[in-house]
Amino acid sequence: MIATFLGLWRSARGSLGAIVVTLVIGFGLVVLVSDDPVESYRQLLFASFASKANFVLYLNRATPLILIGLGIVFAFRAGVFNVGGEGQLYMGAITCAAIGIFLAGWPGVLVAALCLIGAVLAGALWGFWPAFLKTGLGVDEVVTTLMGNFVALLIANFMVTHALRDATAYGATSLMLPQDSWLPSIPGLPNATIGFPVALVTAAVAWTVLFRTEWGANLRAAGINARFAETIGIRPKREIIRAMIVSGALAGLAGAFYVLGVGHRFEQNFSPGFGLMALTVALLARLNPFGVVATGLFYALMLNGAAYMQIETDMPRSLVNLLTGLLVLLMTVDVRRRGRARVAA
Amino acid sequence: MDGARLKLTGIAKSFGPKAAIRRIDLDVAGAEVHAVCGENGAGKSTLMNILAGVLQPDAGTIEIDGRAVAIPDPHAAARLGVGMVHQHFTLVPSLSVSENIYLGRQIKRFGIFTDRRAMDARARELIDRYDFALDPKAIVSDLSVGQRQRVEILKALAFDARILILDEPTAVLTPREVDELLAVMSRLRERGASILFITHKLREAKSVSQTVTVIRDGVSVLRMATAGVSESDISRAMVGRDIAAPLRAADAAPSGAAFKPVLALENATMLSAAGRRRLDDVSLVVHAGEIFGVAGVDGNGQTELAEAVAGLLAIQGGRIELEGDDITSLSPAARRQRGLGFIPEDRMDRGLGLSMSVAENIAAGNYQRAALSGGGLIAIARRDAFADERIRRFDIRGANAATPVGDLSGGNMQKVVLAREFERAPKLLIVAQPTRGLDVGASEFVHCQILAAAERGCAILLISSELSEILALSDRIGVMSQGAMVGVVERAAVSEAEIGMMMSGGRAGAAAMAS
Amino acid sequence: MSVSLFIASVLTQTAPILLAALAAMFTQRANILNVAVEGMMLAAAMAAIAVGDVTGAVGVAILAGAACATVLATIFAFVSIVLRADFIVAGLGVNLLAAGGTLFILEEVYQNPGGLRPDTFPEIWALRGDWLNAIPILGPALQGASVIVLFSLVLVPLSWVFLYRTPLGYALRASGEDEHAARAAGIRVPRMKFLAVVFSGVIAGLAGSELSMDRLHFFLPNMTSGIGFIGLSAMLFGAGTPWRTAFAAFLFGVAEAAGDRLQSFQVAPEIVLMTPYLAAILGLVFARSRIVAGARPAKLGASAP
Repeated sequence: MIATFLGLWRSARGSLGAIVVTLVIGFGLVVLVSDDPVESYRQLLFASFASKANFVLYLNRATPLILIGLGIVFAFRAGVFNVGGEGQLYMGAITCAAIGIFLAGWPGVLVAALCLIGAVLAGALWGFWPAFLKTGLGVDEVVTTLMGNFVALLIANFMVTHALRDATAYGATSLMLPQDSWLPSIPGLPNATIGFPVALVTAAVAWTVLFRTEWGANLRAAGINARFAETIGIRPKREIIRAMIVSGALAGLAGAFYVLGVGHRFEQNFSPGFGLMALTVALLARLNPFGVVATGLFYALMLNGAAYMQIETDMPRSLVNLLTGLLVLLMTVDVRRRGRARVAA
Repeated sequence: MDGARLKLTGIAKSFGPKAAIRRIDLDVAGAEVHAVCGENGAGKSTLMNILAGVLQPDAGTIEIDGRAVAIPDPHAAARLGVGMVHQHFTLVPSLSVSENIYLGRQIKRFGIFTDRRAMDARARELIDRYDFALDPKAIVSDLSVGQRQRVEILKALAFDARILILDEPTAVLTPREVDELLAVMSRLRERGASILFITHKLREAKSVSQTVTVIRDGVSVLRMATAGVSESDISRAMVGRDIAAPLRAADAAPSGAAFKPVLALENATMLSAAGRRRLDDVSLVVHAGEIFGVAGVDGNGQTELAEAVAGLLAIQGGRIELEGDDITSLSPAARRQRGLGFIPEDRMDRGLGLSMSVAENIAAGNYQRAALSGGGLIAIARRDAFADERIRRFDIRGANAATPVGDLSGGNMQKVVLAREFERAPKLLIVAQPTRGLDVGASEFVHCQILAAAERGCAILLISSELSEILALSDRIGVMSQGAMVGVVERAAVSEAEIGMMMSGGRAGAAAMAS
Repeated sequence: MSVSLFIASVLTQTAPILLAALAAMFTQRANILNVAVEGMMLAAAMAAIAVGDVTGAVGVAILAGAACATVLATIFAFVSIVLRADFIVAGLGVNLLAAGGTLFILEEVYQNPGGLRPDTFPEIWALRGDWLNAIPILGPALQGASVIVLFSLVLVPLSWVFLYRTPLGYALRASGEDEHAARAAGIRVPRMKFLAVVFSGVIAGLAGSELSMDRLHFFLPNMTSGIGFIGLSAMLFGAGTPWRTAFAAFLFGVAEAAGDRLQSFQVAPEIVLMTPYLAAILGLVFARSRIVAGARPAKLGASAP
């Protein structure tokens, strides 16, 4: 038991250290810039708990971070640098919106189900093609997934300004999805997406799959040493493709939960960069699914708090964007200490 | 000769807690070939890296021509006339011969541009002076191993090295190239160079050196004129005791009905992308309970043979059969399912997932077979108990089930690989370079395990570049040269010299032997 | 006539891509995939506008852009070479820092998250003259080409000479191709890598300055929109060699310029905007440089209990 905690501590202390340092530096910045630094930071860190409405928004922000983060864990652990979470999210969201709108007359439950399935498939597809290029043609996945983000965003924008457009609404948004297909909220928390408890369950499932099933062990082996995996009889390319499909599917699911559960419509550029933020979340969590829940909750806290911080004080919310970059850099510093394997002769 | 050209006194070097060199004294005269012998890990390479300026000693003095010197970096070594020819070539493949020779110390035109013409001319001069037969403009990636080695030597000679260090130069050469190299060394000695010849091949050491120093466990233990010591004297000093006699009894292989073929290769041919024959029409049969040793200098198709049988590389011609069934087109997983086990030659590259635990490495691929999972989930307690039992049985030191395998020493890592593969009770075990990089104790353990597996009826394909290992363990021996199996003999019926002839002469050598 | 105009617009579109690609090329030869080019360009774009607005001097603005990018490059180099962190994560971190930092400065200092648009802004020095019209096709195409565009063209042969005909170029190539051999030759490999990254920062800074200062004179958040990565693709397509990289960059520049032309054919702007990204992906499929060496995302994970 103690050994487990010690092990956890050792893995976590690097990330905790990075978080602490970032918050300290952030506070220093706030002191320099703001007239009321203490209030700014108070808003940043605690506003999410100030009221039920705030808390709901907080959970709604945490959901995509956790889901996409889990997807990234799968991809990274299989050896694929999937930076395309944002694109996969958008593909899922726009597909969900499209299905919901085109099937408007159908029974609500069916529509919701089809929307979810469609979003998952769309996200999975957007995760599949870079993996296919990688395994089939040897194309590096970092740049392809990044490019995929831009393309997905444009596809979604195209759909929302043409086929799905709600002409009566202000700004580029889609038509509302039929009300009977809207996902229910968490009981007791109006407007809180049911996606949040789903995300928690998904985290548990992800952990179990990765660390308690043969498939997970094979996937991790393929990511750690593809030649070793090959020798054992695992096919690294197959694991890569499977992992990317899962990765994209989870991001697509996050998109569906947003469209079906939160906005009930697709708004252009609704994502404040969830994709890259989820990357930060996954890295902070050292690619551990339960860790992703913790770091996702922490990150969403800051993200949500920043909005209140901007309203209540003179600190702009982009402080969080700045701190994110700092956090990633600080984190890589510690990662390298773990990366240096002690190789004996 | 009064005053040695190179004198090392009391050298010591540690890496963290590990003492690579405890105390070495070395005394090299001018114009002599001085052999430095020792086992793997004895400290030879560390010592040479100190002389080459790549590493700094923790203690001790270096004197060249009677003067104490410090060698802080490779440039300083070059200035002092010390030239190092590394065991693993330090050549940039896309550059030419002359560009490699002058890398880091280029001749410049107008101070900023590289003067390639001058470099080519000077390289050509050097090549002709030592009769090396190379084209200074040739790109290194196009050259053969022997030619590349000559480029390495030229690198050292280019700056008037008077002390030349050759670190295990013959490890990658064919027997004919070895003779050429030994001749080169004599030529250089005649021109006044002192050559430090690091080797564990005692025959070569005896044939070309004037003095021999033996290093064992980081200490220099013997220094004598070569003429006054025998090979067995040297090897005893290297190991500290007599080398054991062959381990495998002459009649250990089963006979009669038990002696059935398990692995059969028929005319297996593998072509490289460039059309070169990596495997050339190889045929062999390994029977149950038999140890078939594949001898040959590294790089003659052994890796390809092992990986072809394991299913990791495809063959373009021929068949592979396992117990009579054609497995030529089967995946590694399918072959393993049918009872194939593989101990790869590079355990860290292919054999293990270094950041995964011992338990995970041993269980990898064995979950179904050893009933470690049920209902889709891994039974952790059972998996760990499984691992603990193997740790005990294979005497894997410094580990429990959760230890990351990368934390273990080489010998213990190899034991993890063995534990995993033997666990499968394979019918056929491919064992490639099983004791590479291992100390004597670990090597003995591995040999015992291999013999025990054969006793249990496993067919073993043993591939090793250490001829002594092949001779100690095999029932029958096949020799590979240039991708072809040039001859198969009974171990009892052949001597080391004869095998050497087959290794160098290829098919012709084998034919000569048969007549 | 319109051919020259087309070439002119290609040149303007290509220059930032080309510079980004060349910047990435230098680090690629040192075996580092510089994903931070995007962030360096973004920071430079903002710095150039901000400083140009305050000082009114174009030269100072360009210098500021280059300096800003170089600072980011130094951070990237320090984290990935000295601290030996994973260079892809470090690069992404720099990008995030640049994106967040520019947005923060926009909101905090300029109180305008929409962008920085100075009322007046000095013109970047450009090539002009009637004598240009005497040269067929290319002459008029170069009319109005900014100093940075011209520099980017010159940088291609210059970098060839550097890489293949100077000792430092050899040392750089050796450091990337075979570290062991380079070290044995006495080359200080970490130092070479560091220099390569810092130098790429300077070039990326010029790319960013060109982006915001030539013809546009303003800075928008996320203005680079992937041009850095497109440049990266061009470099990979060209296998890190100057001429092939330049060729690929031109191809992508043509894709961008052609995309602009497509707008007049009633093709939806979103589809048009996709062209460069699709071109980049296609370019990668046919690229000579394949999988990035050394990138191992799995090692960023902790083994679970």
